[in-house]
Amino acid sequence: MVHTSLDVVDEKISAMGKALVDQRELYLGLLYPTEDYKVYGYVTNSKVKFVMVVDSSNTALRDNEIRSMFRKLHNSYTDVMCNPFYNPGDRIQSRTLVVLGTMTRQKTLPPSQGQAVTACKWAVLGGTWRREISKGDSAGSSFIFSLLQGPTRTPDHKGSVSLA
Amino acid sequence: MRAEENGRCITKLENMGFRVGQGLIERFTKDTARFKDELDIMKFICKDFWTTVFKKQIDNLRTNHQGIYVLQDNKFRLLTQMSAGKQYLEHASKYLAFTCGLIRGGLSNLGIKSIVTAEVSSMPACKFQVMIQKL
Repeated sequence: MVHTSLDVVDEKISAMGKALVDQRELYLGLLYPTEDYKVYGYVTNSKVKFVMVVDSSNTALRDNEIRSMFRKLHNSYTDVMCNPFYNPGDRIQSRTLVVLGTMTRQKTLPPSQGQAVTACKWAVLGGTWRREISKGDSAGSSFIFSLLQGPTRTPDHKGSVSLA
Repeated sequence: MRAEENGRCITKLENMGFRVGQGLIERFTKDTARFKDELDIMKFICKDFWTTVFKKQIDNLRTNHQGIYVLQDNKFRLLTQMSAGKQYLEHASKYLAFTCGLIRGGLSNLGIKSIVTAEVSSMPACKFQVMIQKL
């Protein structure tokens, strides 16, 4: 997993050299042969990169949802930065930060898929962020946030997922 | 003794400004388009950043295109109430230290390492000099 994240960071750095027009890059890449997981990247103006690794067990997430999730992530990150007790470079670990990533997908799935309707509330339950300084940038940093659960977990479960 | 203490205070203020600048820039650049180059970033600092913090823009931006930028503010908000000329000139540096840190913190979060100094020749005008460190 660690190797994946490093590969992802490298790929992103090379991708950034080409088109610097838009603020976010929403690319699905690196579907590995053993585990079916997708990687999403998002870069902010302040050179902070968010990497999201998702284990897509059954249904894949929609583009818009990923975007909105990244938006919320960005907002939470901004709040963390403004916290005077936070020193840049520390590990960010918070349950409240994570609850913001809760998404509901009732509308997108047709009611005929019985299983999908019942399990359509998808919560980001636990996550630890790890900050990696990417090699190319002096002030850039990457946050690896992994969501490794499918939609079947109940929201009461207190899981803590870390990449390390 | 006083001078040493003064120096330490100014460093502390500058560091505080640095941290605040980092957070502020994060918030301000959340929805803006990506910056094309260094000059673009400096212009952003002069216009949007300064307007949001001090309710006015930088009056003059000069550069030698080799990493040195001079931001001139003819009516710096923190100095307008102090004097209208040369009086209290020696006390001005304390008030400018935080702002220097603000600029430095903002630039650092945008990926630019720099050194920011300020000079006042006649209040309330002041100049901030930004020296970009090329790695």
